[in-house]
Amino acid sequence: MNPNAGRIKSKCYWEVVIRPNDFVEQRVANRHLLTRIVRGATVTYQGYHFPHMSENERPESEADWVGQFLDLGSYLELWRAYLSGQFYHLSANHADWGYRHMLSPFERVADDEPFMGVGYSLFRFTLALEFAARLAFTDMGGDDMHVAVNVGNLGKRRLVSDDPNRLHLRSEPTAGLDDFHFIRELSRAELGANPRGLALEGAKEFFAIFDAAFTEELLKGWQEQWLRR
Amino acid sequence: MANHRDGGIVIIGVDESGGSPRPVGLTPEELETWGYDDIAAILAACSDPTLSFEHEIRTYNGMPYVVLRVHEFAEVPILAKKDMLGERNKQIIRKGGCYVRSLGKPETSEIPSQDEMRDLLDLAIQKGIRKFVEQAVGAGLIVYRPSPARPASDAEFLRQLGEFLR
Repeated sequence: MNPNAGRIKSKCYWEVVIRPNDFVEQRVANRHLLTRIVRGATVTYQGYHFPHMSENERPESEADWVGQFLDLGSYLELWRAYLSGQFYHLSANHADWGYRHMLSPFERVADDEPFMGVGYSLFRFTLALEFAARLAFTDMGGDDMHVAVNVGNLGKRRLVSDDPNRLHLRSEPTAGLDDFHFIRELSRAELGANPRGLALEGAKEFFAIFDAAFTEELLKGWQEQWLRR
Repeated sequence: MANHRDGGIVIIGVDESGGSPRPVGLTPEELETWGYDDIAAILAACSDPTLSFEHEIRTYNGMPYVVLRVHEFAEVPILAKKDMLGERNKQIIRKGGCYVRSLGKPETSEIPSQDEMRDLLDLAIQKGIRKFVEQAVGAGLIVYRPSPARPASDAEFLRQLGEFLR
């Protein structure tokens, strides 16, 4: 396995694959164009970029792809964009690498206890689906799109309320699976019309593996709150 | 910022004169001049279409800062509506100018190259298409057709990702 990917996958990780449904080896004319497409579609919410594209370093590239690897301590991330239109993104779960989240004051989490935040998860799905929607309308997109969000190495981590203004999750929901897969085959229109709704759908399915059920309104409000922090 | 994908954040109260940014905050007198209405009036007078933003006062180390969250333009890129002069009557904004964030440098300038111009045009076009799709789907003019559950060319895509998959 790619050593950077191996490092990220040694702990909990988020993996996103976005691509058209049909394989065309050279869907995008050249790698320069790939870089421009990714830069133009990059999502920036609250100072967080998806994907992170360092302007100070030239993207790495080989015959059919461009990409970058970023190591900023708790921010470990790599992405690749292929001439076929395929986009791959792998990033560490930030809390596992030392990032300090603001949690509900009622949550009791030990220093070394792995956890997953509700707001953080919503944010991750929202970034990925919004980027997918943007990509679908570029030369990397197709009439039918494949979007997958995988969360791996969950272990038996707890789902927690990562909002200092909310109560804790009293039932202490715990992941019942080690890996989670959210996969959708969507038309370009469906993806472009409602990426935030699709992100809510993904997050809801994700929370279900913790045996945690939230109302649509609550999740929508939480999602909007994260996007406006 | 408004001509930049997803807009941006401007923090008033940071001293950049020494090269690297230094948080110094605003005095009560300075803070008074950075009210929402004052800023909105100036921006409305010099930008077309008017740009939209949110205004917030935040405190850091006991000092107040004004945080402006500038939204990405809604339909068409924002242009300067009139000339504006800065210190020593130096022109800082040119009427009709289109200002963007430079690639690779934390600064705003008139579109410096064809790359930034293409990026801005692409953004405006994609926003227009997305808006049309959203409205067309909402109005029932576009009906989703089921996508193939498992694309025939799945294997080729997976082969590309071989080095990342366990």
